[in-house]
Formats: sequence, structure tokens, C-alpha cells
Amino acid sequence: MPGAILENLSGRKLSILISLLLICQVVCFLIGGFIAPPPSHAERMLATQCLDQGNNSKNWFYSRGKGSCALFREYDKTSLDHRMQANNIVFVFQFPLPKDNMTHDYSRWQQNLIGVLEPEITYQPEAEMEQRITLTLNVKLGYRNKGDSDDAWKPLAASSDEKRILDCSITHKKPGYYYNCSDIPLLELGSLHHDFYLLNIRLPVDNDKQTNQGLGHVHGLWLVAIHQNGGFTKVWVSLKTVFFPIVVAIMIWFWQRVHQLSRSPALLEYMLLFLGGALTFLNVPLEYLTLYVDMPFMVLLGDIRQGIFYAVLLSFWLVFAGEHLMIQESAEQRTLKSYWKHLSAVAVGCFSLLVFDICERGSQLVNPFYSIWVTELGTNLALSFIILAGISAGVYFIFLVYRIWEVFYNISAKRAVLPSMSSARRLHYQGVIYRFKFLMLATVLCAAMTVVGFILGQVSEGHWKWDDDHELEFTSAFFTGVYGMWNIYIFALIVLYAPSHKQWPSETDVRGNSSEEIEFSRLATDPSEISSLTSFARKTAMD
Amino acid sequence: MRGRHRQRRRPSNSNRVLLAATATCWVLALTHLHSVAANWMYLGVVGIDTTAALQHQQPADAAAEADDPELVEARAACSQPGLSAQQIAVCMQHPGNLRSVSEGARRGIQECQYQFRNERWNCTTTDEQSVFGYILERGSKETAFIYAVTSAGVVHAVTQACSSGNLTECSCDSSRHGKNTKEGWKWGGCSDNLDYGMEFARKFVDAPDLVKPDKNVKRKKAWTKRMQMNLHNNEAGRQVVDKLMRNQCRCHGISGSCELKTCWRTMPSFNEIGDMLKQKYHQAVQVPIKTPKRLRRKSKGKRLKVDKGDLVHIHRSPNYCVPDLQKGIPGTSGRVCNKTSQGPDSCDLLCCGRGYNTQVMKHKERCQCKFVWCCYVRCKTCETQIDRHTCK
Repeated sequence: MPGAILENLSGRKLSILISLLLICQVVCFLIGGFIAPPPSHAERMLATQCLDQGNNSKNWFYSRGKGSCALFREYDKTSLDHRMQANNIVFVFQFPLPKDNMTHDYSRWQQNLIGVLEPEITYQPEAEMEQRITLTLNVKLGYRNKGDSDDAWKPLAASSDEKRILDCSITHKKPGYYYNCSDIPLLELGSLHHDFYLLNIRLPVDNDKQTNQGLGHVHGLWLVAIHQNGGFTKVWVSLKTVFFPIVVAIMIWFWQRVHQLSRSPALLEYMLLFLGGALTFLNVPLEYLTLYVDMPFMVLLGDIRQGIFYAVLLSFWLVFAGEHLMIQESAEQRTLKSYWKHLSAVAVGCFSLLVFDICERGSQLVNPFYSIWVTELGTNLALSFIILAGISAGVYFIFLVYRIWEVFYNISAKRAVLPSMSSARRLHYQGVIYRFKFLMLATVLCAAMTVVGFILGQVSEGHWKWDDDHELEFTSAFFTGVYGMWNIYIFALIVLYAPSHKQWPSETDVRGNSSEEIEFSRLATDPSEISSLTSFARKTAMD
Repeated sequence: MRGRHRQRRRPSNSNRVLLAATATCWVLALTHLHSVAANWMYLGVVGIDTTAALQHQQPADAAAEADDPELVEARAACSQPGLSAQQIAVCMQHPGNLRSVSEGARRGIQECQYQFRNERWNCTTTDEQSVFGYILERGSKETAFIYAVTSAGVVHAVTQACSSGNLTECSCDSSRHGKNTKEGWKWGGCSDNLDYGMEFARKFVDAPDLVKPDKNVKRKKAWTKRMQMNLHNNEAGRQVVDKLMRNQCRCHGISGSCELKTCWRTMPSFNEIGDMLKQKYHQAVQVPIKTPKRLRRKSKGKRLKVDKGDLVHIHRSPNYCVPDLQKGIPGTSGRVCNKTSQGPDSCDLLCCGRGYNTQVMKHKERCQCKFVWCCYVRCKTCETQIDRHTCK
């Protein structure tokens, strides 16, 4: 019977294959650690306060270049000029900032941008600020490209009535001290298609609508602009470009092998194909397109791609464990339908995360300032989806752990009767159990490495000192390492679980006991040829 | 005890430091031999000539041709009162930064006056170019504070100017990722603006104290000791800014999870820096100029440990109670004190035991205020009667 390659591969070949894969894994980690910069970079900038004398909310106010705005100075504020209105002050962010006497511009390799506001509100003893207020912002985002004139700002997004909750506290109540205020998530751009960006923010005051009533004295406004690093994108896309054809090729090879068999493909083989497909979808280097086309939906698409991959991977583990249960069931081929109860946890979790993602990131396609967390209803909705996803993740892991426990329980029960079997059968089953355990170990190791790496990344400060000249960029190394690891893991699964052409079993040839081989061949004529492990289970149950 | 003893024996102490300090700024000192040395902190009092500096706001694209008009412009911007020759040289390299230096000095002096508003020495400034006059010459705790706070002020102001895009000279320094080119920042971003602020402050503020002692200077050892003290305190001030930087992070991984987290550093307000420096002022360490052999042997095992962040001084503080016009100490008579306080502003301490006068005054105060962004406070006026105590 042609079993899986894993069962027929000699120990030497298996160890060569595994060490090759391990080397690839280490290379992936080191590429991230030594070549790639950190995944993202935060640039913190202070707003220039411009004076808008005539409430020209249609104009663009910018702080650098020809025709830059008139500055609003601190003494204008303190003078008792009651005609000065809140709308006369425009907080201007023109980014990226110039450095080394050069104008910097954004590159499309930098992919996306997140903007966070940090207000600096000074304490005034005569008029203390409320602890929590709803801040109303009037925001306008514009862009300009290289070659455009200094005033050729084009609108990208605008919102006159953007609400954010601002929590401020102060420990040392001394005049001139700043309140300790929460950050305000302002915007998320899914693509950095243009070179320069301009943000005009006003804090309108309206007594009738009660807007910005409890606001203190905003001394300064900071914007933290977080973008992906161009170098990281380049390394990441290169990895994808390498992995994509390899995984596609191995899938084609795998499916050809499966089709060469006389039987129809088994469920586990379908699952492997799905897994490869999901990984390929994740591997497609779509980022190349963003260099030419404005694709603001890339962040959402990236989330969906990762989501699909994890959903298929989690389902695969459940089915994998289920197919190796070694309990007697009907001989008919099982399909995905028989796992619907277990897989529904994965489906519910992924679906609720998808809904949340589409609500948040999908809305940001229309309005980059949108955030689901601003309104009470939105927060509750988002939280309930996330909690639902968390619950289904919990249910899933309970299922999975129970399944794996069942498999191991069955294996140890069968092991007890192993000595009573003929030597060839025993050796064979021992090897199969060993390799099954080995693969389980690999899975657990992969998952554990991901978790440990994640925790290390949270604890460490992002980079480790290797020696004086070299620093290991841990965050990037973690990302490329994990990405490479799952690619290699799935590559190994597809290779090792592909049907073997070799006459079974190669190892017993060495030991050479023909009579027992015949005996086993007689036994192994089961019509459902999933893997010899499952057939073994059914046989022993029949015994 | 040792300090007092030495001081009594050598009353010419202050003259010696005066001589040393004047020699430090030998270029400008020629015109000020009769008075005390000019100081860069003077920029914080008078500000800088805006017309000269404004021209530098625009970055010159054709910077490759560093020809005469630019040099002339830079020289015009840098010929400010109070700068030493070394500082002018630094300024010539970064003419645009001088405005931030002035702003930093202003912040430092303002903070000093706020922190010491209740003390016997209330950070009095003079109109002269030396700004603090005798206090800067002496080398006491107060001198240490002034050096630290103004140095921190420059770091603060330069960093802030970089962040607002006003200073185009701030360096990007993306060299950590091996690509220090124009495209470097696209590869891995720029370094924190604070790095540039610290580096520039180190170059500019430390410049006068980095010159080698002139051969003509007597008591070379004392002079170098004083310069070491200045350098140490400058650095301590800068370290405070660095230490008070807060780390803040934001998660933006898949679906906004913390799979991917980006952190940045937030600069403290200058008041916080002042607070911390004031604490350090109270714990300042006095370092003897000469360490006599006998004493050193005695104190073996418990030698004074001076931390990098500590303020150090070499002289004891002068008596701030009695006016000493020659030294520019106004004394505390006439200062308003607090009768109920237990701190340094209490009438007992501030008036140095001389007693105080009490006046009953009508006090108009703004009360029940409501602040309306952006520009005004709506208040009622309350009238109260208060007792005002002033030192005799």
C-alpha cells in the first residue's frame, strides 16, 4: 500500500530534510534581524499654530514653503482680544518633516500611516479642566506631490465634526504644568500613495451645541505619525516573492501525486490543499501593485488574508487530530461536514473578527478619521464582536486539546497490545506513532515559538545588541521568523503527507521478513487508503 | 567645615575664578575686563535679532555652493552678544539653531526663577551680559543649577524646534540601519529628535568650557576643576531631559491587536525638568578643589560618589540674606513671605530672622473662572482682604 512519504522516508533522509528546513528557518529569522529595519516608525511632530483671520475654512494652511501661513503667537492668545475666536487658530501639520536641510517625502514602500494626537493642555488654577470631555475636531487632510507648486494642496479627506473622548488628569496642580491626557487616535490611511501630506485641525467652540466647552488651554498639539518602514516592506515582499512560487510548485506536485493514485483524494489531502491555497493567498506579493496603484484597502485585505490563513490552519489541526483518532468508524470516507460541530467555533470566531474589521477598516476607506471606538454603541458592538471571537477561540482550544488527548490516549492504549503483534507490524506501527508524535511536536514547537517570540518581543525593547556594530532587530526578526516558520511548516506538511510511490515499507526490507510482510499486505488491503495510521487503527479495532 | 576654613584663609577665591572665567571667553573679555564675563545665557534675556535669523528659516537648496553671501549671513546671525569664540564657531555651522538656543536659555532662566521664587536666592538676573553676575562666577550650588537648567533648556528648545519642522538642520541619522543617505529614512526612519538636541547642546553649551587653559592663567588646577564642574552640570541637565522622556506605544497589528506595536518617546514639559533639577540641587555634591592627602586617607572607603546625573559644586553658597551690591546680591529685605508656611518661603527663613512687616491689603482676584478656548477666560472679580508680610 502506498502510504504517506513521512512513513516511508528513512530516518537519515528525514533528518536531512528537517535540518535543511531548520536552516531556512534560521535564515528567515536572521534576515529580519540583521537586514530589515524595525517594522514601523513613529515620527512625533509639533503643530504649527496658524492664524486664520477671516475664518477661511476652505483655504489650506501650511507652515513651510511659499505662501506659508501667518503664525499665531502666544501673546495673541493672552491679549484680551475678545474678537479672537477658536476658529481663528489652525493647528497645522505638514509632514514628513524636513531633515538635514532636505525635504523628505513619503515613499510608496512605506505603505500605510496612522495618526495619533497628543494634546498639551496647561493647567490654569482659576479654570480647571473637566476630567473627561468630548473633543470636537474639524479636520482636513490634503496631499501634494513632488513637482507640484507649494500651494497645490489637494483634498484627500475632510470631516467637520469628528468626535473623540479626551481623558485628562493632573497630579501636581501647578500653573503651567501639563495635564496628563490620553492619546487621541485620529486617522488611519491604508495607502501612502502621495509624497507630502497636510493636516489642518481646528477646535471649534459653539455655545449652543456645547462643543468643546470644557476644554482647557491647548498649549500645543502633537501628532504621532506611524508608518511602515520602507526597508521592512522590501524585505517582507522579497520573502513573499521567494515563498510564493515554492509553495505553488509544491502544491502542484502534491496534487499530481494524489491524482496518480487509484483512489479519490482523502479528507486530509483536501485539507492540505486548502492549507496550501490559504498560504498562497497570503504569499501573493500584492504589495508590488501599491507602488503603481492607489490601494487604500490593502490594510483590510491584509487582515482578511491573514484571517483566512489562520482559519484554515486551525481547522486543519482539528481535522488532523480527528483523522488520527484510531477508533472504529464506518468505512465510508469522511468529509468536512462530519466536523461541522468542531469547525463552527473557528467559523464563528473568524466571522466576528471579520465583521469587526470591516466595520472599522472598511469605514476608514470612506473616512480615514473614522473610528468605531468613539461612540458608545460602536464601542459596545466592537467589544461584543471581539469577546465573541475570544470565546470561540477558547472553545476551539478546549476542543483541540481534548482531541489531541484522545489521540494520545488511543495511541498509548494500542501500544499496550503492540508486544503481542508480529515484529514487522510492531516496528511499522511504532514508527508511525513516532512520526505522528514527531509532527505533533513540530506543531506544538511552532506554536510555542510563536508565543515565546511574541512575549520576548513585548518584554524586550525591540532590538538586541549582538556586538558593538550589529544589533538584532528583534521585532522584525520575529515577524520574518514566524512568517518563514509557517511557510516552512506547511511546506513540510505537504511534502511529508504526500502519497508515496515507494512499495511499502522500505525499512522492513532491511530487516527482511517476507512472511510477515505478506501477512501485513493482506491486512492492509483496506479500501480507504488515508494513511496507514488510520488503517492501523481500524484494523486493530477489528482484531 | 573644610570649605569654610579654606574660604576664610583665601578671600581672593572669587577673584581667581573671575580671572579664569574671563580668560575662557578671551575674545569678548577684552571689553569686559572691569566687569564679569559675558555669557551665552544673555540671549535668553534679550532674544536674538530676528531679521538676521529669519533669513535662515528658509532652507537653501543650493547648499552645495557655500559661497560668500551665505557665510556673511551666518556671520551676521552669529554675531550675538555673549557668545564665546568657540560658540560662534559652532553657530557658524548651524546658524538656524541660534533662535532655539535663545529660547532654551529663556526657558531655563524662567524655570530657575519659578523654582526659586520662594527661596532666599530667587534667581535674580542683572541687565548685564553676564546675566547672573557673581553667582555664575562663584561655583556654588546655585551656579550648578543655572548651568544645568539652561543646558536642559537648549536641549528642550532645539528638540522641539526639530519636531515642529522649524529647524531644517536637524539630522536624520538613520545610520543605525546602515543607510545614512537621503533615502535612508525611507528605509528605516530617522532617529529621535532628542538625539540631535542633545548632540547640539553638547557642542554649543559645552564649547566655552572645553578650551585648554591658557599658559598665562594662574592656578590652572582650580580653573580646570571649575570647567569640569560646568561640564558636569551641563551634562547633568541634559541627562534629566533624557531620563524624563516617557515611552508611549500604540498597537496596530492584525485587527488592531498588539501583534505589532510601535513606540515613541514623549518629551516632558519643562516644568517637570525644573522640578527634577531642583531636587538634584538639594542633593548637590560639593567636590573639593584640592584633596589634601591626609584627608583623603582618612575618608578612605567612603569616598564621595558623584553620579553622572548629580549636580556638583566646588564652593559653598554665599550669604543671600544681606545685600552685597558688589557681588550683586540684593538680600531678602522687602521680599514677600508666607507667615503660615513651613518651607523656605516662611517668614522666619526668608527674612533670616530679621522679622517682617505686615500690611493689610485689599486684594482683587479673578474667581469662578471659566476658560473658553482659545483665547479668553470668563471670570468674576472677587475682593478679599489679605495680610501681606514683607521682610525687614
